[in-house]
Amino acid sequence: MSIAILTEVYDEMRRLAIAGSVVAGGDFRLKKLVPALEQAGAKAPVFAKVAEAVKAVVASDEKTSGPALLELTTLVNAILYTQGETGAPGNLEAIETIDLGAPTAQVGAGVIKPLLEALTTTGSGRLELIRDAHERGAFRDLRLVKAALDALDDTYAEIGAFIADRVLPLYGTAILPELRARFDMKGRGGHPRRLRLMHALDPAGSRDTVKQALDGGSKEVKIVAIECLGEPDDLSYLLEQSTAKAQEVRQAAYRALAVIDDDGAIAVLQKALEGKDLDLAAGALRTNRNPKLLSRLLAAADGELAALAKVKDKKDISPRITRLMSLLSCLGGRDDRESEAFVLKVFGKRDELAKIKGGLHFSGSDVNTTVVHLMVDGTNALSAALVDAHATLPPNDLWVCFQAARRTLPAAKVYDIFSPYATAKVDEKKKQRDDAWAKREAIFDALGCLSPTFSPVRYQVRSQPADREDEAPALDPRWLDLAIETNHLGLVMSLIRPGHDAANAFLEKNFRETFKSAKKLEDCQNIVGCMIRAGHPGAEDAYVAVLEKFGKKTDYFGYYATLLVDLPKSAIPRLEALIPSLSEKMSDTLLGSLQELRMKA
Amino acid sequence: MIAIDEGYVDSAAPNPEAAKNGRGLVLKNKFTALNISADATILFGECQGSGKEPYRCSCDFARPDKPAHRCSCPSRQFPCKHCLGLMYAYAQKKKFTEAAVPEDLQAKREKLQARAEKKDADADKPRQVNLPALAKKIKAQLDGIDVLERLTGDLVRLGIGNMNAKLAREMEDQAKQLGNAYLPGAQAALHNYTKLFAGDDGKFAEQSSAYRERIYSEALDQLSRLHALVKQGRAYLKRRLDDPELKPETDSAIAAWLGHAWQLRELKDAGLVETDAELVQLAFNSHDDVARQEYVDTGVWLTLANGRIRLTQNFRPYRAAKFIKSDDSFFQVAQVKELCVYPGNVNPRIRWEGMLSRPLEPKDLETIRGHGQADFAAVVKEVKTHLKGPLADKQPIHALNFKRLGRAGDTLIAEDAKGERLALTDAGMSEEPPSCHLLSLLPRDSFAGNTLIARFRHDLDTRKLQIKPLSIVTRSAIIRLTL
Repeated sequence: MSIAILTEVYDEMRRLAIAGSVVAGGDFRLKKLVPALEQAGAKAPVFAKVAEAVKAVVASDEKTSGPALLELTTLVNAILYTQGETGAPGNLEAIETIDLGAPTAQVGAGVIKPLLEALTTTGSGRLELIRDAHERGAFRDLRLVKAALDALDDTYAEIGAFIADRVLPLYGTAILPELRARFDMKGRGGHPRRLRLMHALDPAGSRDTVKQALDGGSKEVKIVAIECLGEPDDLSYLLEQSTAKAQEVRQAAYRALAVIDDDGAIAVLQKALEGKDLDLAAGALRTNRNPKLLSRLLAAADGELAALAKVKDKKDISPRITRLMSLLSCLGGRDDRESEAFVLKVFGKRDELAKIKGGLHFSGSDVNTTVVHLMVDGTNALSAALVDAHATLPPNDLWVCFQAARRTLPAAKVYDIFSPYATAKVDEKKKQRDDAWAKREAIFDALGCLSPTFSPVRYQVRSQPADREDEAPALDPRWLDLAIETNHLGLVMSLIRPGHDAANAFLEKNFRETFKSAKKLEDCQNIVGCMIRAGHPGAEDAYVAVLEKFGKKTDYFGYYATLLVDLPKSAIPRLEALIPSLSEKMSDTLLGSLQELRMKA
Repeated sequence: MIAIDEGYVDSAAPNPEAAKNGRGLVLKNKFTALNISADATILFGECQGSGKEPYRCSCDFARPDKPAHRCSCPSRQFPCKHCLGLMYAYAQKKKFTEAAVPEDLQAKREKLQARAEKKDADADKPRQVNLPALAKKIKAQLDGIDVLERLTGDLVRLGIGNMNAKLAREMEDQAKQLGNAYLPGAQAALHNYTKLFAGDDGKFAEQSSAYRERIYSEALDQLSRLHALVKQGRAYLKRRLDDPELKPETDSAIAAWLGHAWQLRELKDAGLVETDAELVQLAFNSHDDVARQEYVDTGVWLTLANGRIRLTQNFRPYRAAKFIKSDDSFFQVAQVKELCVYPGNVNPRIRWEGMLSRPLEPKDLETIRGHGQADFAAVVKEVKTHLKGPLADKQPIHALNFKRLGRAGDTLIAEDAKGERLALTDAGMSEEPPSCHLLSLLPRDSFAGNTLIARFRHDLDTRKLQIKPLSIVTRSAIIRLTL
């Protein structure tokens, strides 16, 4: 069959359909094809039919041209539909695949659709849904890959970042083609994330893209591209970028130079260290482990420390202190002896430094605070030195010192050292003006903040499940006894643990008093929550009593409803029986938590 | 009484919110009466609502595969939350008191029973047709066909290139006449043309010249379809006008094209029914059809006995979407007593009333694979023959037994044992989300000796016949690539 002539007819009739059939009558380009069609028609009758249809179009007037053109279209399309090309030339090669791990494609549309909507639409509450799905392994369903890739451009940056950092790496190099296809080096938002991801998944394969982005990328893409460098070949480019006008570009160049072991790179970082770019280069200086650079860093810090003592003009104090603090921050995370010795040296001068007052901005006490924080996060020797000096520390630093002690010392030792602050005789009227009072409060604060159960845990867990870390070692059990002895309800609530008879009695007494005087539900919720956490035998009664007293009057009690999830399942019938007595809105709130309790393993 | 668990009630709910509310009613002790009949075929009760009088609801399982839910509440959801709550209460083993079925309810049951019996009896009787009314309707439809012809003629005379957002909007307004003339199918066909000039959201806006260039061929094909619809529709309607006893045509889909809503009974009368069918869902998608102004849930099913691939379609108009239960993926084997098949060629629509289910077993997967077509050349010939019909479904679905799935350059390819190849693409098939890119995430052993469920499409511009992968059936699973 002579498809070429049919193709020509198709093209001409398409042209006429686009222009409008009113111009079809007498069309000479179509007319020209008639002889060839008639000739082909001698062998295959269908061509003769097409020739007739073409003639009808050519001979048509304004009124008949439309139907004639559509007749021709129907005929030609029908033939062309039977001539569709199939197949593809070339050697058949294997499809490169990456196994996602688990069988994935058996999730129902009803389950997967809300997640797809969260990934592809806007609105609140999506990040939580996505996080939850990620934790449940739902992203292993391969049908979510495309939506996850699109979500890199989500208008809510946190979703884009979460997808880039946590979700897409699951798919490995399988997503590289899509990342490459969608990457726009002039773009912002999701495009820097794409470049970072491409580099993380395939550093060698994405090198050309990184280089192109360096030359022609948007500012955001260029910054990521610079961060992706780090090969010795990149040195000259990075050196050049370290003098760029844009601060972000210089900062990225410093970060990339920090991992290259080269004299040129060290020289640039040294220049930054000595110049105005110190803060920009601080991250790079912290990372770099070159001994020469470290020695320059320490020398510079030592110089500032010495100069500080000699400054006479008060205006010069703050800038010097700021610089010294920046230099000290570059020592964070180091475990070498030189750094350790220098930090201890500055710590030894804390009394002198405390006397230096720097006007509106920083003073010598701020240097002390910086040093104390370096010691808390530093080597064991630094932490030990800090703890040894606890008696000489101001109340604010005592809080940090307590953290260092918890990290390095046995719980009993921590108690022995710090419990005297909690039981010290204080002047309650003077408050902050009484040093003993301030130190006691610092210890109470530290105990409260360190406990994961002090604040509404369920809310914390839901909002930040991935970031929550609960690594602090256990506290000495005597702290709870001390809290009861000092009649400190807040501290008891913070330190409570199940099976402590004295604590249970203390809570029961306090609950009775609170319940009696309470004017609203919120007055009771913390103590009831504490009783539930403690596994208090009266927790269920207390929960119900509060609900009975305030349930009808309270408009909203979302937090209180979540508390019941930690009650024993045996409480369900009793709570369900309460629901009819509550308002519609409140019973709906409680129903959600009840369902959660029911589903608990 | 059939076994009712919470899962059963969940799946009966029109949406998750209704299920939650139904469950809540039980927990809130809103049911003031929970009763069950002595023969345990009906649950009935009273549920306190916001008004003075409680709602009276019941769930009748006299016909276990077709339960009847009744409630005095005004909800348009079906079953409503009160009926769902009643079933939840039963599933949660709440105390149901045995009681006599109230008179009014019993009357309704008897009425339903009588209706069912009458239906069964009527199934054998010839249906009475109001011939004058039918003739009047057909005349109106013929007038509608004249309108469609005039509109199509206007569009061709105007030229596709001169179509703009304003004209498309005006054309849609005029197309409402087709709906008034009992031709909703023709109206939708015209919308399919005008919507080519709209954005993804269905709203008309001026398009770039590059975009317009891409749609010209498709637009021309749509016009050709409208032309064919006018010709075939008029001939069909004239035949029916001349012979009022003539039944709707079952050899082709022309009746559906004109918007005929087939009743199951009509299909049964026409012999378009298979008994005791077992079906497996191969793919599922839910898409927004802006031309029809409704959401369409489409299930792609294979009948185990004969290997035919057919479609379930659940249309949920925007206006009523909240009240219509959406379909979902189905992973078991559906056992259907009477499977009604709509007229059509390759993948006709199917429907059934009531079904049971059983787990999908490896032998079912083997059966599906056994129905796959191993000779690509024969399938291609069949597809091409089908596609040349102007009113044919332009994207038919087939099961293909491939020897290998691979890549030649950038093109993904399915190859049969004889070396015949079909290229894979997502282009032009937007009903389901893209799926080709997912192949690179599949286990390597999926690429040899399995069955590909594929949608065919002939691209009018490139003149290539290509396929889009919907699922892969392996020995152990159906891997779904679309949603």
